[in-house]
Amino acid sequence: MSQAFRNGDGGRIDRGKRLNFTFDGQNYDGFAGDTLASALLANGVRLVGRSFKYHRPRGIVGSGPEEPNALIQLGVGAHTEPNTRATQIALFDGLIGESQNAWPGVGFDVGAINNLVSKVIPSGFYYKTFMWPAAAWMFYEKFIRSAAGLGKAPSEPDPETYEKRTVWCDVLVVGGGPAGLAAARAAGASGARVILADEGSEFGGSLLSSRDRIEGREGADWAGDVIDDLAGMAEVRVLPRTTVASYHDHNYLVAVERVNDHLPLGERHGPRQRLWKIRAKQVVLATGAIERPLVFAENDRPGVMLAGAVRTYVNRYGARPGNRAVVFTNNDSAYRAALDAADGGISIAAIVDCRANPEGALVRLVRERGIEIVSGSVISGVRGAKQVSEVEVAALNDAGDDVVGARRSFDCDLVMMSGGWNPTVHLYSQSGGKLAWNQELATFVPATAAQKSREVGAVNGSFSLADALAEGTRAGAAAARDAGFEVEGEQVPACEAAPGDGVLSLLALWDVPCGRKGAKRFLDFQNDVTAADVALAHRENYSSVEHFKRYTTTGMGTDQGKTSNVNGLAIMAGLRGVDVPEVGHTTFRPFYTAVTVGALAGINSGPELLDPVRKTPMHNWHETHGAHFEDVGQWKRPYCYLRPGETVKQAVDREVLAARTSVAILDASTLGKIDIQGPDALELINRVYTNNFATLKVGQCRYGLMLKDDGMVFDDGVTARIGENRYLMSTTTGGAPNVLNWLEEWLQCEWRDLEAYCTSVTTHWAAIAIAGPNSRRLLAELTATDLSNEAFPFMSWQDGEIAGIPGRIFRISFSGETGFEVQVPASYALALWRALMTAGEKYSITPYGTEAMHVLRAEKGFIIAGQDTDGTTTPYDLGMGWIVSRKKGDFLGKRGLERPDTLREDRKQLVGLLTENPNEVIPEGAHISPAPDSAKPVPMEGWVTSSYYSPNCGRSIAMALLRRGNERIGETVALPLEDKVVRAKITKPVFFDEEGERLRG
Amino acid sequence: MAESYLRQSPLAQRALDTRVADDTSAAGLVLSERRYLAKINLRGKIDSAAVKAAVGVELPAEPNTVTEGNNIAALWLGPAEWLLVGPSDAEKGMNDALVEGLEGMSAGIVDVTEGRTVIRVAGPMARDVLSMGCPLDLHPRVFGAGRCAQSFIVRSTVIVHQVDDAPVYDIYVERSQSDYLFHWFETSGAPYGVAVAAEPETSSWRRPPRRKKDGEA
Amino acid sequence: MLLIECPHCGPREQTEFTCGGEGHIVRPDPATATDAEWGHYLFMRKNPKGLHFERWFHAHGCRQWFHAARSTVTHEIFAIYGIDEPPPAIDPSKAGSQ
Repeated sequence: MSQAFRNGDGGRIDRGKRLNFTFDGQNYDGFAGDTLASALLANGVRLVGRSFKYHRPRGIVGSGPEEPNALIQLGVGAHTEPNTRATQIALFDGLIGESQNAWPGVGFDVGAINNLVSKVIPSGFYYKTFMWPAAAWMFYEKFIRSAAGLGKAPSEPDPETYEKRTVWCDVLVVGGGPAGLAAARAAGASGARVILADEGSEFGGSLLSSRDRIEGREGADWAGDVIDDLAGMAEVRVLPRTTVASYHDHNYLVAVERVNDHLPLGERHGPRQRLWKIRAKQVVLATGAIERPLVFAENDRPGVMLAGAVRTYVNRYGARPGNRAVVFTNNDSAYRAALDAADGGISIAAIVDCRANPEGALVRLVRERGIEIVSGSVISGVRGAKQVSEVEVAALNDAGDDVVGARRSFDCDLVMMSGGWNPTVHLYSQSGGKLAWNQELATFVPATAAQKSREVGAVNGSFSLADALAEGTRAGAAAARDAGFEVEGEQVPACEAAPGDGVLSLLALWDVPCGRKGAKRFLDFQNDVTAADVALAHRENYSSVEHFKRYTTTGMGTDQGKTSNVNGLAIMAGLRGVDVPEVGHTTFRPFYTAVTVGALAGINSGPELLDPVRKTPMHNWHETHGAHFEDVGQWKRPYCYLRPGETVKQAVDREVLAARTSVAILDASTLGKIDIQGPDALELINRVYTNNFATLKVGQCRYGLMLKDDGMVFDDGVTARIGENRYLMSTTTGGAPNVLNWLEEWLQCEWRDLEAYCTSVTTHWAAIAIAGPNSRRLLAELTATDLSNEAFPFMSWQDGEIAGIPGRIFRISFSGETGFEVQVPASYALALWRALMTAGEKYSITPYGTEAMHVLRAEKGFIIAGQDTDGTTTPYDLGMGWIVSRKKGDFLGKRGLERPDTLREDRKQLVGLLTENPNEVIPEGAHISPAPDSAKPVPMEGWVTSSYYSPNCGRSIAMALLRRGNERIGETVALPLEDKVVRAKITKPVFFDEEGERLRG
Repeated sequence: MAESYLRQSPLAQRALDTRVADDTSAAGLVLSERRYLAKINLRGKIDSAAVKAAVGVELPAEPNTVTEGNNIAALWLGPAEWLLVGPSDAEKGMNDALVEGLEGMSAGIVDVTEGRTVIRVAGPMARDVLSMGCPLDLHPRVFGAGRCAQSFIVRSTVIVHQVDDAPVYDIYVERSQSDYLFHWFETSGAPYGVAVAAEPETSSWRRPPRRKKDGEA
Repeated sequence: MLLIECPHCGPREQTEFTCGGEGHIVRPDPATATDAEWGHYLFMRKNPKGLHFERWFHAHGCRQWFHAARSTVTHEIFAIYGIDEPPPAIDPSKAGSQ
């Protein structure tokens, strides 16, 4: 059987280009221009999947993004992608597709037993059955998930690349049907920057499925000519295979271009997909409409299709979804489909129309053909397990709520249904636009746009070709004008309107009666929701639109209710006895169709590109000398330097000891540095630090603590006076941008009279801290500067040349050792580091990392802002009242420190903790409890902020914030951990050289 | 002045000088590093004429534009902030000239030479590749030669300066992030071909002759 | 994602900015403010549905602060004005205020 359902001519496929593909292990062929769906239909394949819940056999329903059933696992191995719609997969040579949701196969599916027991798994079944006991959900879930599952995610890394681009335009036109093409041409002619995007591989939209003529040509040819025109306009960008998937605030839209998905793997070049982040001045939405199924008994049998989809398969692909069709409709548009299907070789057994007296141009044409019209009737049943074989037709009673009289049967292998058309308002609604119910069309249409957008053609409820062209042309021109361009004499393309063009004369019939109980009438094929489920939701009072959606799962999944939403709402409205607008509609959410995570990530994944990596000038030295890095914000900092065979703890202990016994150096380049100049530089500094800087002389440095205005510690660092009106402020590594922004905020917003100028020099200067009793001796070998205590006292700085490099030497220390910090222009820092390592060999100089730095400072009880503080910690809580000036005027946080809550005596205060077992290192974050054995919740009175093993103390040390800690020195506290309770004695938070002799030595 | 052999540019590890292509015409993206350009950040209430007298370039008045003079590019960074970019090794001379020439003005003059490096981005795909990470509207109608903007590329804060309509861009990036950003450019441009070009040459900067003050000999 | 018209740089993407929250908060004189007044200054913020006057910072651009009058319902920005300027008169009903 090779394309037995393919017509010999007609359609937009290239019969000269035969393509081989595999579906469910079977080989087939199709033609260039096919989708997987059209090729399967041409080959007579009707069964393409099993339904989600009941595992019922399912076939292709639609021809585009609305397809609920034909979800395909596309490709194999790392390239596989689940939940792709066969109707949107462009066929290529070598394509491999699998049906989903069936095991062991789509023909015989063990899950189909669910269908037989469907009475016991109605809506809400999972919620009701598996909700108790709560812990068992984990157990149930595994089985439910594997039985349910919609396709399989690939288990290997994605080998494809993806690209993201930002693009700004004057006019974005979404949709390349007649309205969109007309809009793009009108806007493009003005010279405006125009983007035209369409999800299909070919522009033309409905023109590709119709036989309408525009400007004297076949519609599809006209579309091609417009695209050629647009290609000649320098500022117009035409994007085929591009789905505009979301519409956000201020005309920001996201589109996905499938650059390579239509090609065999071997022929792909460049990124697989490209994500366009579009900022448009004006938007024209020409997104068309999606046909609505009718909710009748057994309407999910393979072979029951949307009438318009059948028309598309016949006209565009020359493929017949069946040989003998029964049409079931409530409006005129299906008559057009029936005529085209008949012309395409499908015999029409009958048109079943629920309207009592259908008439109109199309109806007359059908009658003239001699096709039987069964009016005032419905399909009351469909037979055929894996394909439709027969339908049963019954007359409606006068009320339209039941069937009466004798049933008639029609043999057929295809049912073409049409319940009307829903404008594709997804993007419009995402933009915030309000919808209104149109009684004549029985659907929601755009009412009040929220953004600079215009809706044209079918999305606007304008279903005739002439209206689409006129609206599109006018909107394109108006959008260009509003974007600031001149448009001269816009020309609406003339078209030859087919008889009955755009006329529906629709009679709403939402829940089609069948006269039988238990016959399933599906409204959401993808989620297996039936009309009975809506009734159940209503009975159980889940009748508000958002409740009903979640209770029944209508409109969920990849489908997002494209075919089911309005039917569901209308059935609920009927049950509630209200009009549809009173039920309302759920929120349309991004994305319109699923977007691959890879496209959202672009190239920004993996350790090197996920987030910027910040490196110091010495980074590569660290890397080649055993550095074990840690992330500090975006910075990579050596945590310690591992020697061969060493553990991390051994390395840290070695580095800590070296700093106290000889000399060690730290790459401190990441610390924030801010140059502050101007006549009011001192005033600024005095207002942001708690202590007084007025007495600081040029050549001196001072430690400062910075508070938020509520009195809580925010950042700290050493500030040096560089000149008369010039200071160099240092900040914590993580706080650098925050402090700079903080200064800028106060200068610009509050203290506008201050003339002080802040400039980040964090990465201009690289910094190396030199610590240890041999630090002075080492540095003296590399500089002529007199480093003696007398010439260079603690907390001073001098310009100096070190190892031939001009820089600054600071006599400061965060280790509590005799120490210096040398700052040089960053590009010389590696040379300086190397010079220090070479000169320091005789002292067994040791590079140390951040962990040794932490241990050294903790031994001395120096805090780290952000580790020992958390935004609720005052200087007094830290025992740092000495740094809060009582003499100087206002500074940030001063008044905050006087608030009653800040003055409470039972606040948490920083203390030291010494564990009873000196080798026990308490985990940081451990809580302190006054009653660790009491019933849960166990009362807490503080927590550990810093905790290390100190080789210099020969034991563990910790710092903690503890309620009333200051008055509890000497007490023993308990720290309940997961598996034990640790006890520790409260001490002052200083563990080593309390007098600071080494620091000043 | 320290010996130049002691100096290492932020992208030194990428050994770009060993990768310079003889012919970059086939590449969609052409990258190079402009090392050690002198950069002085100026803030405050500054008289453009005084800057012109001191270093030879006027300050741009229009936001997000660049003026050039005496081999210095003056980039607008904010309503009272500019970045003066001169040739390599000119930073000390420029800084001293500005400190002297702007004496008495309320100003912040900071040598930030080392804080950023410059990645020059050229080639026919330069604009497209930039748009893969940069949210600016780079269309020639909006952003052409002589324009600059502070923005970001992916998550790195940058200054984008378009130096030629070709287009050619100079991207100023924090030195600590330059290795990351260069890697990002190479990866983003890979589908279109990436080549490394030789470092663009710069002329030297000479301090304009000082006008004698009254009473000076 | 909003498009924000920086008073200096023109329209730029929201990602270049940080929002500083409610604008026009007056810092009381710390010498005379009562605890309640100081607490109100520190912690109390309006959270209106509709028109909101707020501060924005062009963090990844010209690094300047400015004010914006924005609807918290529709995100429409009605005015951008200087950090030292008073709020402009805007009909709150236009911003969906209730």
